[in-house]
Amino acid sequence: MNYEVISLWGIWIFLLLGYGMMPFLTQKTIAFGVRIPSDMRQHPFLSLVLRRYWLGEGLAAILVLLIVHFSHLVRSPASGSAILLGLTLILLALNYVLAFLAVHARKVKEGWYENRHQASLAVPGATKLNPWLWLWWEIPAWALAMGLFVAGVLRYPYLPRRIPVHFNSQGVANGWMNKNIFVVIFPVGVSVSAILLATGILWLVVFKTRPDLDPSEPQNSTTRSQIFHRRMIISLDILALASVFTTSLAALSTWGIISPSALPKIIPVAMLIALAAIFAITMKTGQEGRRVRPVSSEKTDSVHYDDDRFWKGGMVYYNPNDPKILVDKRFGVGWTLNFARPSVWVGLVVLILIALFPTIWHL
Amino acid sequence: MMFLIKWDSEQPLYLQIRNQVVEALARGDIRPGDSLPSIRTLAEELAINLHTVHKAYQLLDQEGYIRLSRRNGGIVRDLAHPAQDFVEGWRDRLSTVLSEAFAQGMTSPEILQHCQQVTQEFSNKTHHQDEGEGVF
Repeated sequence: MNYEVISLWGIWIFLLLGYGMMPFLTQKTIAFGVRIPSDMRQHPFLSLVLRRYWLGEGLAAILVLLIVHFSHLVRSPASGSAILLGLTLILLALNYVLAFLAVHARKVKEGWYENRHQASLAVPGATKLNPWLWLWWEIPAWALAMGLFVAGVLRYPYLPRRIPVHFNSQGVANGWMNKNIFVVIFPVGVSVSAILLATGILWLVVFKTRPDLDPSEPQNSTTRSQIFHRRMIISLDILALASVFTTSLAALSTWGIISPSALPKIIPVAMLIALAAIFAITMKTGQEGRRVRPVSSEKTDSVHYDDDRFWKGGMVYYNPNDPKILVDKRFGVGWTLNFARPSVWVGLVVLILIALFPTIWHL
Repeated sequence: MMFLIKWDSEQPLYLQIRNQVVEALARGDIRPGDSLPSIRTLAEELAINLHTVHKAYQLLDQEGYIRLSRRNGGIVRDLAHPAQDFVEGWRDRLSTVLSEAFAQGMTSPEILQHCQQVTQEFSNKTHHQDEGEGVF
């Protein structure tokens, strides 16, 4: 079995593990996409839904395995990965929607928010980090990219006229180009772009996200949110470093410094290590720092206000009154968009046009 | 500083924001020269309309607590000496609040005890300032 297939199954297992753990990672005021008062988490019905959710996940995994086994889809990694991961995601999404509908119906039926003091909490500036301080985490990635540039410049005079630029999954060259300066500029450019992309996302995380604070635990939720923001930035920089590392390896093999046959082994392993590190950070932190240990025992009689009406299907946020563009996800760790903001739609159209540009250009 | 919006309160949202700023001033959590969060920041953090926060800040500006600034949101003014018309207006409102207590059957000692507790909470202001504490 080659390393691409191993990494594909690795991603699949991470996906299943993350999905199974998700109810323990989302905020205490969210149960399967439904806003609840945090003290309702102990409701026996939620334990029942959790067991059904895991059962559903297990059945989905078995179904996917059976389909893969009988149709031999994963023999071709490119189409196999799309089908394996796509099918799994669809089945898991359906399983989530079933849990969401069950919890939502029970909440409405039993009136979980009746006679509760609903409140919103804001501590402006509390989770704002100094972005300059956090740019330090990008230094390894920048150092690697600069090292790659220097290696490229030094190696360039010794490169042959025709250079292998594409390799098959066994590391055998199957694409060539004539020697020119882009052989050096291109991989360095890709590395720098990956770091700049991470910097852009860091800027969004620092300045454009909103902590979803729980008014029943003001101190704890503020501290947790701070830790969550910091760790998300670290995860982002790990991802940037892994991208620069794999790009560098590919470039070094193109330049004949390392053997291309080693790449199919090292690249998937490097990506899996990065993924495992991010997975571990996520598990230890949770959405809005849910998994972080409480710092205070302070409790108030207020509960997080019920904003379910702005969440379509527990997943899509639509609130015209909210000026924020990026908001916390209800299922998963990270952020989603406020689809009531016109700028979100403009941004999406621009992104789609950029993605389609090469196709349109060739027409 | 911390802002807590109660959705089941009879007070409109802008008044809740205004009151919390005034209470933070009274407690010494914010001091003259401090900046309030910008209108957009506060609206975004509370997931409420920009106009609601703008209305609260305008009211604080009119009442002389802050100087509304387009760039910084609001700067807390130095209010060392209350204006004469403020004292008169405040006394009128106090009179209404105390009359409600008497009309509900509370006794003078009871009312004074409550008044003392509230003033105690705010009189820590000087203490806070001496220690150089601040929420911002």
